[in-house]
Parts: sequence; structure tokens; C-alpha cells
Amino acid sequence: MKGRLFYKILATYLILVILVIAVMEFFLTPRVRDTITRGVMDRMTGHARIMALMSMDELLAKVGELAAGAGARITLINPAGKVLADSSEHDQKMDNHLNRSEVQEARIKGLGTAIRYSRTLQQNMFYVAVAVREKDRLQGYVRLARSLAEVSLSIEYLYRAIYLTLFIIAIPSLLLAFVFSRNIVSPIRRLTELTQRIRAGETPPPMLADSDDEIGRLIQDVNFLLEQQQEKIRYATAEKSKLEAAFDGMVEGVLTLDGDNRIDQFNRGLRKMIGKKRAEILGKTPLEVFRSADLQAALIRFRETGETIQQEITLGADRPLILNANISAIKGYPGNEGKIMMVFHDVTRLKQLERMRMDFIANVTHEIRTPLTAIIGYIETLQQGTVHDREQTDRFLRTAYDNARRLNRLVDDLLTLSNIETGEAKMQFREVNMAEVIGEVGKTMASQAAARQIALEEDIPTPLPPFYADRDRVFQILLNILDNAIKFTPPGGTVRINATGDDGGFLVVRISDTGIGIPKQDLPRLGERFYRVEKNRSRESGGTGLGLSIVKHLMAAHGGRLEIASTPGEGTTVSLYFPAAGPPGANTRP
Amino acid sequence: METRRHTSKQYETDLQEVKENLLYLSALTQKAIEDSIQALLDRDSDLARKVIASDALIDKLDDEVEEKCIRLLALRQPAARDLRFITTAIKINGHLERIGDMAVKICEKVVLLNEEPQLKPYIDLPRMAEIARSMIRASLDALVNEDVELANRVRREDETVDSLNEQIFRELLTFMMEDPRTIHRALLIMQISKTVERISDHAKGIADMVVFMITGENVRHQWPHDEEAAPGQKET
Repeated sequence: MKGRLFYKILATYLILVILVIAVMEFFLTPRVRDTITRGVMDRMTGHARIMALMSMDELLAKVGELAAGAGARITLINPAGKVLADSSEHDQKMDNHLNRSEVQEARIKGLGTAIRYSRTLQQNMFYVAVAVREKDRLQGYVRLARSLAEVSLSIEYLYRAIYLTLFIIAIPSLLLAFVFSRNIVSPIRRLTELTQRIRAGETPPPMLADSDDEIGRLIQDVNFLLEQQQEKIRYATAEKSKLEAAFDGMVEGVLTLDGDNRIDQFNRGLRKMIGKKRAEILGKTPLEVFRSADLQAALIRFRETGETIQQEITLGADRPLILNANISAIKGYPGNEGKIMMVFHDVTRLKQLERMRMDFIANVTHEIRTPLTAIIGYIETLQQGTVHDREQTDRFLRTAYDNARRLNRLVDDLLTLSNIETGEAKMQFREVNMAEVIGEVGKTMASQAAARQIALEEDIPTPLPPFYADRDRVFQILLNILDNAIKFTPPGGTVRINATGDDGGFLVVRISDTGIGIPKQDLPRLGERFYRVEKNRSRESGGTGLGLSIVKHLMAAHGGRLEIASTPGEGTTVSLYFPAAGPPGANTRP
Repeated sequence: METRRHTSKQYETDLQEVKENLLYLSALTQKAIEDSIQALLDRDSDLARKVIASDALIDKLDDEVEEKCIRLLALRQPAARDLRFITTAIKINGHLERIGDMAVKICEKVVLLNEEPQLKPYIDLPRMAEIARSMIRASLDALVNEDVELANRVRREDETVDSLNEQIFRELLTFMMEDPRTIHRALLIMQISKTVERISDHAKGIADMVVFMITGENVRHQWPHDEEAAPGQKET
């Protein structure tokens, strides 16, 4: 099926041809008819005038020849109106012609014309009558008559020729129109198909421009636009993916709110931060996602003031997540009216460190102040000189001394810890026989265990693989752990030391007790300095609160690690993982 | 609630607003509970006083939600689900407001307790408060997600809190028997414990309403553990 344009062009041609014919019919035909009629009349008049120069007798004699020569019927009428002769009729049959209008006109003016119906011939006729005079005396009238049909016929001939010509012209011109419109339409149609495919989202190959005319240029332009559009899409896609990568790659969580307070965009950082699925975030309100009263209050405040707001929010109860939320308006881009952007920084670790530091300072001051208060108190009492009892004085002095030593131990421990942490402590890596060290530690602690009626059991398979470590430090580690185990095991309990060689590349020493155990929530914080499960229990038993912290750091310095498992009321197992491999290079730093 | 569409955009917005306000209210009450227990643990009277002051916002929001719900009932004449949602919202709103008041009550006791030395380390009380708090959150989650299973879980959780309360009661009793000087403090702690227990009752009340809203079944006077038992039988 051809397009509508094709029919439009064809119809235009058709209408043009019909219009030409109609114009001819309405304007030309009357004129042509007029001209031809006048021409016939003029000729007849001329003939009649010439004939009138002849005498009546001559005319009468040659009426037949004259009629043939003029191509008309000739009637000779005498002045009284009687028909003397007629080239086509018998004169006797004809009635008086004096009352005929052309004859009457000729009688007066010498020449008369008329177009009327001839009763004789029963058709429309032209009549021309001329008076024949001889020396100013009227001899009669010569009248020429010619059928109007004759004229019409010649007009018809003429028209037939014209129509034929028009027809001959019309066919090739329509043919031409057909070809021409098809030539115009077909590239336009191809262009339309191309643009339709572009609209449908395809990327069609460019079209071939096969001419230099307007259409050809149009095709070239469309091709250019197509190419440019694809280039722009490529550019935009590349930019978008770059932005998205940056957006998603951010550690910070970012989300935007639409005008209805719903989350319409967010990045992977946010999803990871709050640990929710995409569907649990997209299209929800911040309250639905975060359930944070603080965040909601900040959002309400932001909507009231329009000023950028910073708010710290805490999410999650079992695993606290502290976020620093920054709420601001998205400005300067069209289509972003009423949109809000929230950026979240995870400050959990920071806050933890801050708390640890604050705890540490509070703890150190507390730890130092307690023995100092005791020392000052006892010395003050002695200074006042009110105590004279030798025994009491001794007891006071001993308490002051004990506290001073405790202070000293605390400072020593702090120094040790600081040295390990900064790498100042020199580690002497040598081959160490673990069984030997355990034996020594056991011997050292034997009396203490016995005093608390605690059975000390050793289960050391021989031979244990040798490993490289700083022997004194390993001793210190084991002593610390064993000391704790004995301290927190009620009398009658058991402390067991067990060693395993080569457990996945580690030499493992396990020290288990049947003590009071450690609540689960305290386990992760055990290595922190001064962290105590119960604020008072280890201080009462004489610890500085730094033992496990030192062990943890020493283990790290050996490239090993510390694991503590515990059930409250049943006991605790401390596992020490020493790397069984050779010396960890010259690496003495943790 | 998620995908329901109403012919009136305004109606939709109003319902959503009620839901948002309930969530905000629940977040505020949860924070109030957390803070009141934190004030107890840290012996922080300033924090306790802050919680008491912040109850004004909870009360204001409570009024707003109630007014909004009543206006919706009057103007829109909701039917079926919407009607159940709005009546449920009114009930939940009341529960949340009461919970806010209870956090205030706890804080008042905390201020009094802080005037005396600490009686004992708190172990069960924070656990209990955390369960009660998570019950509020879960019941609102059940409301938002129309999760009957979750609502029923919340209803069962109430018993854990009850038994913890009894445990604390027994423990404090021994303190009081040993040393009469501890009676004042022990009674205060007991009142706190009882208040937390009542908070969990309110959370269960919210969960009951959520079950009603979703299923249309009134479970308020049934107890989750004897649902198989004879009807009408109540916990003693």
C-alpha cells in the first residue's frame, strides 16, 4: 500500500487536469463558438455582398453554382417578397419571405442577418440577406442560409482535437506524477520507518542517501542526528555508570527522599550499613527503615528550618550501630524540588574508641587513686603519732607498702603494655620447648593452687613440636592466664593445661577451669585495658586489670591469637594459638 | 497497607500520616525506655530528668494521632480494613502513650535510687527492658508488614518478661530479708521491674490489636500458650 502522500500528489495532478478542462469548457467554449459563428457570418455576408453586385437575372441563372461555391443555400427574393429561386427548394412551394426579419433588415439597411429556426429545413439556421440594387432601384434580395449545426459540427471537430490533445497530455503527465510522487514518497516512507524504529528504542543503521535534493539532505541530517543522539546516549550512559559506581562505591550511606518523604534512591553503602534488602528500603519512609526517633526529630527540624542538620543516631540493640546523619536539601537541579539528601557515616568504631579512651583514663585515675588514698591515709595516721602499738604500726606500714607495690605493678604493667604496643619491647625469638615452659609455670603456681585447694592438671603429649618464641614472654603469657584461672575458680575446682601440636599450623595451649565463667556479652571486651567483668571482682583479688590486655598484645607480637570460650557457672577455656612455623622473620613488632 | 490505593489521594495521605505518626511514637517510647534503663545503669539523674521532660512530645503526638483518627472516622466513614486500621491505630496510640508514661515513672524511681548507694548490679532488669522494647518494635513491625506470625510471637514474649519480673522479685526479697536497710531501694527497684513488666503487657496489647486488624479476630482475652486449651481459661 502506498502512503497517503502518494495519493495526495496524484490527486493534485488529476484535479489540475480536470480544472484545465473545466476552465476551457466554461471560458473558452463560448468564445470559440462566438468566433466561429462570427467568422461564418462574416464569410456569408461577404459572399452575399459580392453576389449583390450581380444582376438579378445573372443570379437567377447561376443560383446553383453560387450556392455550391459559397457552401450555403441561396434564396433569391423579389422586392415583393416572392421567392424567385432557391438553391435547395422549389420556389413555388415557398411562401412570401418579405416578413422574414433578415429581409426586413436588408430592405431598410441594405444588409440583414438572423439566426432562427427554419420551418422549411426544420433546423436552426444562419441567415444573411442583402438587397440587390441596380441604379438605385431595388431589384430584389439575395439571401444566404447556412445550418447552425454545420457550425456546431466544426466546433465539435475543434473540441475533439483539443480533448484529444489534452488526453494525450494527461496520460503521460499522470504517469509522470505517479513516478514523481513515488520517488518522493518512498524515501520519506523509509525515513518514517527509521524514525519509528528510533521511537521504539532501537538503534537502526543509518540510511543511504541516494540523491542530493532536499530529501537527500534530509536523510543526511537524520543520519547525523541519529549518530549524534547515539553518541550522546553513549556519553550519558558512561557518565551515569561512572556516577553510579562512585555513588555505590562510597563508604558512606547515601539516600534521597522524594517530595512524599519516601526513599527514591540509595547506594550500596547504605544497604550494607543497615543490613537491609533493597525492597526493604526503596519507597519506604525513613521512619519505616530506621525506626529512629532521633532521626525523625532531626528530619522534622530540618523541614522546619531548611538548614543542614547533623544528627547522631543509634540503631540496633544487640549490635549497636552509631551513625552520623547529615540531612540537607538537594538544590540547583531541576526536578529536585522538595528532595532531601541524607548522608550517613558509620561512627560506631570511632565512638567505641572514644569510649575506650575515656574508660581508660577514668580507670587509670581510679586504679592509681585507690592505692594512693590508702597509702596517704595510713601514713597520715602514723604521722599524727596517735598509734603507739608496734604491731599496729607494722600493719599500717605493711598495708601502705602493699599498696605502693600495687601501684608499682600497675605502672610496670602499663609500661609493658605501652612497650609492646609501640614495639619498643625487644622480642628474643628462640626455639622454645613448650612442655618445659608449661612445667615451669605449673611449678610456679603450684603453691597458689594448693592454697586455694585447686587441682592443677597437665596434659602434655610428647613430643610437642618446637616453635620459635620469646621464652620469657611465653612464660609471662601462661603465668597470666593460669593466674586468672586459679583466681576465678572456687576452692575444690580444677584447672587443666592441655597442649596440642600442629593444629592447622598452630601450637595450641588450652587452659580450662571450672570457675565462675564470664557472661557472653563481656567476652568481646575482655582484651580491653582495665575492662572488668564485674567492677570489683578482680580488683579484690589483686589484679591490675591489665593482665589479659598484655596477653592479647603479646600473642599478637608472636603472630598468634587468643580465644576465650566460657559458660557462666561452668568454667572458662582460654586457647592460645602460637604459630608452629619457624621464627616469624626478624619481625619483632606486633 | 503497602499497595492499597484509594480514589482520594488525600485520604491515602491521611492514612499514611497516621501510620507514620504511630511509628514515630513507637520510636520515641522505645528511646524513652532505653534511656530510662541507661539512666538506671549509669546512675545518671540528668538523663532520667531528660526522659521525663521528653514525655511532653509523646503526649502531644498522642493527641495528634487521636484527633487525626477521629477526623478520618467522621469525614471519610471508612469501612472494612480501613475502619479496622483506624480503630486499631487509636488503641495502639493509647498503649504507646501509656508506655511513655511508664518510662517517666521508671525515671522518677531512678532519680530516687540515685540518692542512695547502688544496691546491686543490674543484670535481669536491663534484659527485661530490652525484651519489652523489642516487643514494641516487633509489634509495630507486625502492623506495618501485616505479619500475624510476628504479632503472635510478641504475644508469647510477654511470658518471658513476666518470669523475669518474678525472678527479680524473689532476688530482691532475699536482699530485704538480709538487711532491712535495703528495703527502700529494693522496693524502688521492684516498682521499676513491675513497670517494665507492664510495658510488656502494653506491647502485647499492641500485638493483640495488630492480630485483630489483620484477621478481624479478637484475641485480647486469649493467652497465646493456652490457645489449644479450653476457651475462657485464663492464666492464674
